[in-house]
Amino acid sequence: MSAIARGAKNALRNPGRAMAVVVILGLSLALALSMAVARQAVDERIASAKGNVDSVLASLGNTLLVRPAGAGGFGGGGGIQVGRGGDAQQATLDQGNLTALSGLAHVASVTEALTVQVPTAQTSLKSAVNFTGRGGGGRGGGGGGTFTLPITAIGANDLAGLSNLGTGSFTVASGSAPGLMGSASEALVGQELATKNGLIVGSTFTLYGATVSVSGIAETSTANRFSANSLVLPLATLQGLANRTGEVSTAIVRVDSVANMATTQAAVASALGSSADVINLQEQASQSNAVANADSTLASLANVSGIALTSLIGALVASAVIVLLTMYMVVRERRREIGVLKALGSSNGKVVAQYTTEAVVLTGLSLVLGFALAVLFGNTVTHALVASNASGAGGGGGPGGGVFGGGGGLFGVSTQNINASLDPALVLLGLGVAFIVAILGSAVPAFAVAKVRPSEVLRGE
Amino acid sequence: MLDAIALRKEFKSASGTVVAVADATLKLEPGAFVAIVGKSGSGKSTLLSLLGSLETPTSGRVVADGRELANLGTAELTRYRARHVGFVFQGYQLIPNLTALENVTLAMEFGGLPRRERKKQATMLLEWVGLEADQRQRRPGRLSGGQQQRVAIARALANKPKVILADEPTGNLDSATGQLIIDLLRRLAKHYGITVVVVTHDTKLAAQADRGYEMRDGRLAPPSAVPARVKP
Repeated sequence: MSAIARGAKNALRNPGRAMAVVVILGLSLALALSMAVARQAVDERIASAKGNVDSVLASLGNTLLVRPAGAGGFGGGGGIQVGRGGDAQQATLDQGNLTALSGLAHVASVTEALTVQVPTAQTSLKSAVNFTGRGGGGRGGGGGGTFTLPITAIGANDLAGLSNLGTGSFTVASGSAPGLMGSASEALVGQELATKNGLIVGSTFTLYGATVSVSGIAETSTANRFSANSLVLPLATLQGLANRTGEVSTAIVRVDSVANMATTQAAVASALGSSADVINLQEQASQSNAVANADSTLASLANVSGIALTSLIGALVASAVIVLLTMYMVVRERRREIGVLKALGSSNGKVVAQYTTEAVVLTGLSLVLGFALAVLFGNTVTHALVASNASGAGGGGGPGGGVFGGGGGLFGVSTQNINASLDPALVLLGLGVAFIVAILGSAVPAFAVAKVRPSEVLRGE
Repeated sequence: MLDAIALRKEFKSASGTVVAVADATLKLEPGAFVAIVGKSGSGKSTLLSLLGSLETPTSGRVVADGRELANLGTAELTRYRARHVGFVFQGYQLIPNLTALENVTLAMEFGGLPRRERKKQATMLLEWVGLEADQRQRRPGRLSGGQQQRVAIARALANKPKVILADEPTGNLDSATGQLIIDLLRRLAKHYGITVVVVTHDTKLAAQADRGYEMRDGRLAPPSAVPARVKP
């Protein structure tokens, strides 16, 4: 029987104690593994969220919004509320402004849009979105109470860039987009609004007294409820229906390159003078609540990751201490036996190998228990850790807050649904770390083994 | 041949230096059956440790077959102990979670005997010391004192040593069983030429040795101080 075999056999020499050690060490290793799992899951979420934020910001990189001076942002404090017989007439961009924009250097395209929040009396449609209680999580969330989101009608000459209006994106799911360059009474209707009103492609509804047919249904972004409650018509159609002929509330200017943004922004401002506000979307996004919320949530997640790492290290140190104390006790108990082995001609190395093997076997058994517990409770531990230590974005944003209003959910940065799992790489890492813990834990006892003198066995009983 | 020449062993303690063995000289020929008697604390176990290279003398020399043990390195000393010296410890000192057979093969492993020969040789040794076949797979806790001491002697013989050093080999046994163990040791000396050194406080038992010494305050007493049958 080799030293390794003797060590393995000795691990279970005292079954009661071995079981107690395995349970305690197993719990400690389970905690370490759970923390490793939690950290991995949180780090993955952080990486993914950072990617989302970067991607969104990058997509905004070459877009300028041009609005009449003082018009404010859609969905924010300066929302446009215009209708037949409405009191306030919002300033608009005129044709001269739009012609000037198209003629500027580096301007790749200009999408003209008129956005109108339709009064309930002016349509047969029912709003699909009601907010009750609190708005969405995050700092940009809306207020309390019940709020019915007005239906938004967007007249545009191009679908491209409409997501930059603050209404979210539109993707045709069925039917087709209306001919936006024409003036037909057709609309692309948001999915939620269509469902609420029982609309399908070919259905009709009334808007400002006219009958409008549904040319298509649009999938809308889940993060922004505005698009779900919106419909898109040809610009000329909406201008006519809403008595806003020739008016444009927003020009979405695509610049040919991010590198030319600053010069183009300056050129637009110079060309339109004080009659318009020029908004660099990337700059605005960077300064918005959504980004602040996303940053805050990322910081919270980073904090959770840090806590998990600290706990992981703590649990590993505790495991090493458990192994150390156990093996130290074992060595003290078997001092005479160690002396016998040495007196019989065993080298220090063989005796140390025997006791280290014993520690490795005990740690291995504990690791099996630790893995089982980590598989069973790792996800729960992760959720508890995140819930108790992370703050910030929960879901999508509520109304208010301007173009980028709403919670961090706009960027997909959320502390919700972080699912942890024990993957094979982590299992291998766990095995390696546990082996190191066993070696470290048995290092001091091994030193004690080496110090036992074989002559001790000849001393009295 | 094992020679101890002017061996001295001192230990440091809080109250000063303690001389455990003072100028002990012994000449142990092959086949000699030597007894060392003395009271507890007289230094007889320390002398046994020095002879078995478990301790290093403060001064003096131990020479085994012409090799001075002080000149051997740690690894060589370990090998020397494994192959040339057999120990029979007080209280048997068998490994409790190994069977009788495994306790003997354990010593063979340290002595470098090939794995395939260990079981066969160990079985033969256990048979020679009189351990029944059904007792060889038992752990020490399930053997009587006499049976455990037989296993301990078989273990001491595992690597065909030239010297057997036995510390109180009958200390925990009744007189009849003790006599059987002494007879066994005598046979080893007489028939196999093994040098047997027995340390005991039992003068009656020591009287059966070929040659006897008495340890008193670390010194080997002159032969006149030893009972008649124990005189060298």
